[in-house]
Amino acid sequence: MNKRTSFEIFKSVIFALFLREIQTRFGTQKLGYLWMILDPLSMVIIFATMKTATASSSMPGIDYPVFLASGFLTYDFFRNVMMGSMHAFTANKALFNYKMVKPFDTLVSRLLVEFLVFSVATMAFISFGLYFGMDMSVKDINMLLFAILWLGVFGFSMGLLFAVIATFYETFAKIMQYIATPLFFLSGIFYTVDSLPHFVRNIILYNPVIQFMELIHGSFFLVLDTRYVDYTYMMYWTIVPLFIGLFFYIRSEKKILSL
Amino acid sequence: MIVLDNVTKYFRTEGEKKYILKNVTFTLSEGVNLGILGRNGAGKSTFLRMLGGIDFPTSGKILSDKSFSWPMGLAGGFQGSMTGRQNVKFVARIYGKDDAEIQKIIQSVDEFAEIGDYFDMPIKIYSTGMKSRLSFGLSLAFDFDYLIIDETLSVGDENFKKKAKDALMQKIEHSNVLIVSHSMADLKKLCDVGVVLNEGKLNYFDKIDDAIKFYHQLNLEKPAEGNVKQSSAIYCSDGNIFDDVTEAAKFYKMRPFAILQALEHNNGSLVYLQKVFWRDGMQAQQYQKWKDVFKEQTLISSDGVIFEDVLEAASFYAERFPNKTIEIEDIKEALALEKKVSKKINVQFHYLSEYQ
Repeated sequence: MNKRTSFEIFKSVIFALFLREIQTRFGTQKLGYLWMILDPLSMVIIFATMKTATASSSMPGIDYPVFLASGFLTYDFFRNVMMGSMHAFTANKALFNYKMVKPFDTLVSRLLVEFLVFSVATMAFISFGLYFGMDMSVKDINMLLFAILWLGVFGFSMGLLFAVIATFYETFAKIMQYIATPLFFLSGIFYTVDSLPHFVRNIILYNPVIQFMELIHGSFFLVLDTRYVDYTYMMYWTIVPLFIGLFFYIRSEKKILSL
Repeated sequence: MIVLDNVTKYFRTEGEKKYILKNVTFTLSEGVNLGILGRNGAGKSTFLRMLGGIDFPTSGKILSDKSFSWPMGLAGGFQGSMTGRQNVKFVARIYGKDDAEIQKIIQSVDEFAEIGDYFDMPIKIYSTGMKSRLSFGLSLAFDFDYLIIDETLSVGDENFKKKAKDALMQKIEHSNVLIVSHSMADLKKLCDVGVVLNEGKLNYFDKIDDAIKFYHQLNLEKPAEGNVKQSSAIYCSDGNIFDDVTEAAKFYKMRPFAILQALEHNNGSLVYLQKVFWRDGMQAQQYQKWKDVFKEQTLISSDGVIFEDVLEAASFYAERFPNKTIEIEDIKEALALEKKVSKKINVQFHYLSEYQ
């Protein structure tokens, strides 16, 4: 057999895992790929109708479904990356019999799959919105894309850390499921930080996810801004878990492999 | 060449360290086929996986610049909701094959596995046999320096077993094997050298025959706890050890079935030879039990089967000849007759005490 460089091996493993994940997740039933779009779309429709029905404070200058979708799609992307990573090692255990598949690869391929799902769903929503004549103009497209990619990296570093912990402490995954549920309501998906009372604002800004949401909303909508976003704080939340996660991962890779 | 440099491997069970290897330094020379022996729980599979680079020593290093297969016949790596073809593609992709090579691999797996249309159906509807056909075919479609085989030569039906073994023999012409097997005959056929793992020590032998001998010696000195079959080897009360039933049968010029029957139904005793057989790992004492519990009612039939009493004999033959409705009375009747033959099944019965 020809000797391949480790990067070549990494590339081919990621590619193979990526296709495998897509095939198993969406390719098994008929219309499987359609769920990729229908899933987030239906959530947006439900929330938008709820809001219209209650007819509470509207946001001047913003189409509320667009606001909702921008938050919901990105939050979903983040949550899937973070929470999905936790089971990646145990779920792919059998694959570690193939020498070149490393646990880390399964996390990277999951990140890519989630990103693909997110992109497709977003494109579907853009077409949907344009068809209904919603205002889809973006204030700062570069900043928006940057924010989304950063959110992906943030999710990945949290996911890596969680994955390593969850491998050795089974209850950890269950605890995280409970924590993740309220996070949905505390992350500024259907409201802005500015609309909150002063004392709530100060506390809720400790949640790094709401910072990302503010950044995304602020760079999407003309009438919103990013004045509450603390870039340094977000950077710490990205780098610290990434390095702690990597540190423990490298130390325990062999243990994970021989689970 | 595979080099083990001061390798230690242990598992922690209830706070106690259970050693598989303890400070072992060893070199496996180029181009030999290695058989790995050891009692249940000695860590044969872990050792094999360590050689193949998918498990790791607690301390020390295992070095080799050769390529190793995954454990052959492994079906766990398959994704149930994907088709056989997709699973094969996945493995080919991991190994960085281009499209043309992937097509070639798919074709050779398809030909070897002979599962027809199932190749394009999800793996989860496969039978165990189909799965192992597929995974065996997949392992053979790649070229490795070393093939890792863990007990996979005994899957599937006879036809497939033969086909798999033939294909393997062909493969061995170009690559080597590292194998864990309970079949002494397979080990003799495939391997040149052998190691026996025992309590953290690695005993190396230049000839596989010596390794097998050493392994038998080990089992004779210290019978295993519990009654678990350890290998295909058959032990005889006259001190002979055979690699498997066929060899034992050949030696005593009996049908293999007679020895199997002795092992499975007669507590090991073969009255015709006046010998007791037992399997490797089983406790010999239990198999010689019939000598001690020798009761007045103990029966022997002309088939050579020994029964504790009439009841056992009746249920044995009732099972054997379901359409002849054998009951206790029939056997008792036969015993009372002068010829002691039961007309219904044409079998002679004797009390063991009277039988010579």
